[in-house]
Amino acid sequence: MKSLRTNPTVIPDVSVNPRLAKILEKFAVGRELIVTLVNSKMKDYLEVWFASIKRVGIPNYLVVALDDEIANFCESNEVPFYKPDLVGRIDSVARTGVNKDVSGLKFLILWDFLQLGYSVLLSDVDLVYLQNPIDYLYRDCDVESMTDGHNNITAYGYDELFEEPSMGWAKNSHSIRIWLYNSGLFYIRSTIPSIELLDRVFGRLLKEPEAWDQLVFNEELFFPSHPGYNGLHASKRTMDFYLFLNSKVLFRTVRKDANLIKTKPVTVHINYHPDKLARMKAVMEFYMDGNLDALKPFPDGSEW
Amino acid sequence: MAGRREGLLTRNSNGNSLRGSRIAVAITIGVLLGCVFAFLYPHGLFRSDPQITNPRFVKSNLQVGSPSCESPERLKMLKSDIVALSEKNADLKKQVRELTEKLRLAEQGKDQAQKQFMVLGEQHKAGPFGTVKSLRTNPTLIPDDSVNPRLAKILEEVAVRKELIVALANSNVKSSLAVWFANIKRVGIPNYLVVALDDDIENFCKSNNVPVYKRDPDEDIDSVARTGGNHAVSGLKFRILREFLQLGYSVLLSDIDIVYLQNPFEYLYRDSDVESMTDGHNNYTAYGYNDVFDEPAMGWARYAHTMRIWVYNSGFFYIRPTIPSIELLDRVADRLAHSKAWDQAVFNEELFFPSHPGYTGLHASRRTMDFYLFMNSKVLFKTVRKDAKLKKLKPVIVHVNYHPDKLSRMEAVVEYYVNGKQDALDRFPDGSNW
Repeated sequence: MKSLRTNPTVIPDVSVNPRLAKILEKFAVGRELIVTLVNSKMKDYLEVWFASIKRVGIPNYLVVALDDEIANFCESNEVPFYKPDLVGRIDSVARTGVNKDVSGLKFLILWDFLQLGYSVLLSDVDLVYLQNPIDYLYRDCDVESMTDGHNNITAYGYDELFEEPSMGWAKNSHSIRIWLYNSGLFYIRSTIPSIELLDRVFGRLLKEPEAWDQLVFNEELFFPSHPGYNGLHASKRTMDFYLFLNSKVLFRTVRKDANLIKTKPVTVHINYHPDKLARMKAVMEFYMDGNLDALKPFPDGSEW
Repeated sequence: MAGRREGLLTRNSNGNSLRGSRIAVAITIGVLLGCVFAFLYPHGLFRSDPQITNPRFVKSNLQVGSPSCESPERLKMLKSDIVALSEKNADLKKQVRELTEKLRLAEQGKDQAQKQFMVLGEQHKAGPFGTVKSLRTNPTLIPDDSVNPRLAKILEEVAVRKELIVALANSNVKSSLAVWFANIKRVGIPNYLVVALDDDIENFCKSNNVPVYKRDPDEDIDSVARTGGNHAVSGLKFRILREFLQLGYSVLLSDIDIVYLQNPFEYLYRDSDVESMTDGHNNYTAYGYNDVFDEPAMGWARYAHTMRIWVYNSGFFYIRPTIPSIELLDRVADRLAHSKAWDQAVFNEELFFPSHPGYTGLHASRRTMDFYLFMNSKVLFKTVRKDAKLKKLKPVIVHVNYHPDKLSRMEAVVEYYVNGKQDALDRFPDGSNW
């Protein structure tokens, strides 16, 4: 007996955003595409980002430009872009460019995409593309996301023991533990649970402005219902952490292992390090240009 | 004045002695009359208030017989009237409670049916921001009586509103079983069933008027039932429950080391595939939290964040007859058949792990029961019994899962919550030495 994991998609509603609908018709392939949100503070990252996408030859991607400078930059570089009409207070958040706040905006903006019936591979801008991720998606769950985990158990979940010696016979309690999904790279299908997820995350971010959007995203995905809270009922898939690499796995493990280094990842996300631009360029040189020394100058972690 | 007195005296001495004696007689008569009136009208001649203030006269007034006072027979009649009316009152209150409960359940059912219709009816558009609600309450299966007609008949008689408590028991747990059903009966829960794993238990239940069901012989199950330890027998439940769900019944699966203090059916939400009690001991461990992992060597990104939640206790959970639920039972049973794993661990892994390369996750909705109402014994012995406010709360059930001396603790729980013995729990340590 097999229960349904793959929820039906919604009927598209073009009236939600006709301008975006036209843009998506032009750039999406198979009603799905890669989307990123950028303001002018992230211009340098954006350059490396779309350079890698063009180099791999991925046709269906879109930059959501949060200000005119980025819009013009995209236009002059022949990069598909969309400048949304943002409501007053949200606009001010976009301009200040604090990483966290722009990150929260994505949940509001993605809503339009899903309503129009498009599934989105949401991407942060500090990501390098080495293969076309579209070829590696399962598309069988509402949310398919990369992980912050660094090995099989932290990435995919495990039973963690909690020891309390004073309890004697029953000193071991068991708990389920899994590292967070990284809200910088996830594929979200245009289904009702997915739309409810976006509603919930953005709703909470409005009420708790200090909250971290990645944490809220994960809480809504993982917590079961309990007194006072109705859990979401979305299906989830964790992406392979060797294919969709986070930078801790790359710099601490993969680059030191003769076998692992031979696997070409699909994407590398420089999430665990602050010197993102330098590392992004180094990754491109290593995997695409074959410069085997490119990753050497970087420490596993970072000093600050 | 002095002059008149003198006058009287002088007149008296002049031979007016006759008038003087008449005055004396008049005075005497006046005094006598006064005494008579005082005797006859002790409250004054003109007083209109009939209230009795002098206790000496109370008795005589009662005996005069005013109509509002009672005779012993009448008293008895009134007393029995009061008793009869109190009983009727209690009865009506009970009816009100039952009807309110029925109404609540009907509302719950209607609400869920509406939601299911909305989401599953046809593919449709999403609504405006803030209005979209996905479905947690999966639709139930169409019942299939042919799966086990004998069990179907038993369930028809025992279940109430297509749900019931089910427990598995073999002779190892006979004494705990006695406490188990004694409490269920005391609370007045009608819909429960013991799945007897051997004849001894079957006879024990029958002789105690406990609804019991013994499966047709099945060598696989029976060998485990005969010789298996606690964990092995516990694993059997996932195979046995499947038929119950296929027949269209929701099951509240219960271990034997549980004391019932209220009717759990009044506390269920019924909005998820699985609604289970937790092994957790506070809001974080029970309902989930961000457990931060520190790796100083990483510097700037030393903190990794993780989702962590204490496992569901597979000794007490409510499972609805839906497709994900049956798939859950199948998966657990299958994994237990092929490896020596702990059934509670497998149950939780199948419920919680998302899909990943090489594994397709289950797609079941879950609800964690309130850990103060559906109490595990760590919460009781380490926290609740020491807190003045929490002690006053009456749980729905207490599961003696965290301690090996189950029978004595179960009995102590009954002494404390049912018989009101405030020191019944005192002699037990928080944990246990072995």
